[in-house]
Amino acid sequence: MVSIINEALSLSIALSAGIYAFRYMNRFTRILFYQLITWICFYLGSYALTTYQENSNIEPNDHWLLNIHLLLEALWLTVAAYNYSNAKTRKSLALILYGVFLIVFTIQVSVSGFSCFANLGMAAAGLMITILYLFILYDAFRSKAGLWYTSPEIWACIGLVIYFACNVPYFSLFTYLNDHYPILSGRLFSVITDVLANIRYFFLAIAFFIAARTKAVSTVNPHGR
Amino acid sequence: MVDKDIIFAIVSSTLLILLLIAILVIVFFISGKQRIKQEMEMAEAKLSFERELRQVETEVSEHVMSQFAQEIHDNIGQLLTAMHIQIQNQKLDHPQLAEEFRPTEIYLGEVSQHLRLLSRTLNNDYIGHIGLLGAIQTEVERLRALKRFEVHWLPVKGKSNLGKDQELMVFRIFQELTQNALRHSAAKNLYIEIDTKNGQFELSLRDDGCGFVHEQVQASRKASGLRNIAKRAQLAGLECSISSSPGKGCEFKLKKPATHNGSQKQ
Repeated sequence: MVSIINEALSLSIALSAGIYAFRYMNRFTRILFYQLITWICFYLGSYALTTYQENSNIEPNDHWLLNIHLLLEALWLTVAAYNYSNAKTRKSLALILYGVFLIVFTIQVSVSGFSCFANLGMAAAGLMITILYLFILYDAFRSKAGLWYTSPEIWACIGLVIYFACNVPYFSLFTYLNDHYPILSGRLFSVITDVLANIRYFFLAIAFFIAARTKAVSTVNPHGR
Repeated sequence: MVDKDIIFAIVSSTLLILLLIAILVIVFFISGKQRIKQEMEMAEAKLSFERELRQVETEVSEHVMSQFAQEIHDNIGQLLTAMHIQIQNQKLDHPQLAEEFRPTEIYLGEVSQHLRLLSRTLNNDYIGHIGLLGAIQTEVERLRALKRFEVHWLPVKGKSNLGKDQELMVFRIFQELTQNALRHSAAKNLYIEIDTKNGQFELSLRDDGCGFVHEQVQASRKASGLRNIAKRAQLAGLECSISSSPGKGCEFKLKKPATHNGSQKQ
């Protein structure tokens, strides 16, 4: 219950900051905001679905919904990374990595079925997003090292990299743990994934807030004098 | 036991990854800072080279102008004096032609006067000696003598609050601006104002001529004079602004920038 409240709180903060900053956002930050809205929709959908299943005495299973979300989440984040850089190699890398993720996802879904969470697909997505966003982070630090804390891209990327990279070990063993140690898996989920998700959305909220603040300052003084 | 092992393995690998990310972020930050520092050093070197180049350009042009002024004073001035003496001699030899020589004498006097003023305004030693405000006064007299437009100027007493080099730069900018007004503006009035109160310096030149679209002229090849003005102002550490529109004349302002504590840079 505490983890749900925490996650709902961090999502609400990020959503509020995103709505406040929406008109000041660049394309990259805006795509991350769309991804946030997508996750909130799926989160609410998943909550409604599991509540309904519990009330109808059906075993709760929202894994198929999370699989759909995984595809969309990876797609949004790939599109954001694709748009960030003008270099052809970076764009190609984003497409290739998304292709690799799709292959892993498809293989796992075809073997385990769509109602089983594609944990290896999630791990592949984690690796893909970590690589793409480390490149973005590198570029952002190179262009704004002096004022790195005023760059929304840097805050958003740090949050995303921490979330996806640190989730790889847990999600690699997710199905195994769920099958053999379900209680332990639940505990690890709330210790690792929930905490990381809160960190991710907290950083995203900071990124949105900074995007609004930076643009607002430059509107007052367009020459930056 | 197995539970603990699994927890330990997953948590430790997660923490390890977190540590790696922290290291990577720090490395990116340091490399970004170094790159920016390098870029700043390069930009500074380029700027200093450009400044030196402009300094040399200015010194060369000042030298040429000084030589030109000296040539006018020593050579052409002497020839005109000789002509004047010759006319005086002719008048003594032929008193009946005195009236016919009068217009020539008047023209000769005017030419000598113009050349003397021109020689003074080109000579940077003279400008250094009489100061910016005196030099502008001399230039105003020269412009008034040309009778191309009405020059509205109230002489300012005291000092300009500028350094010697800055004064010379401001005077050359002033000359460039008045030349532009003479050649292109078709103005009837030229208003010159200098404000030196409270340690500040602001020169303002306004004409009621045909005006121009600043962006268009700046983009064209004809804007060498304007670019020169901007370069000189930058070199002297002054702020300049031009506002003009077709049919509404032109206003130019040159100002010593204020420092943070409210006073102005020297």
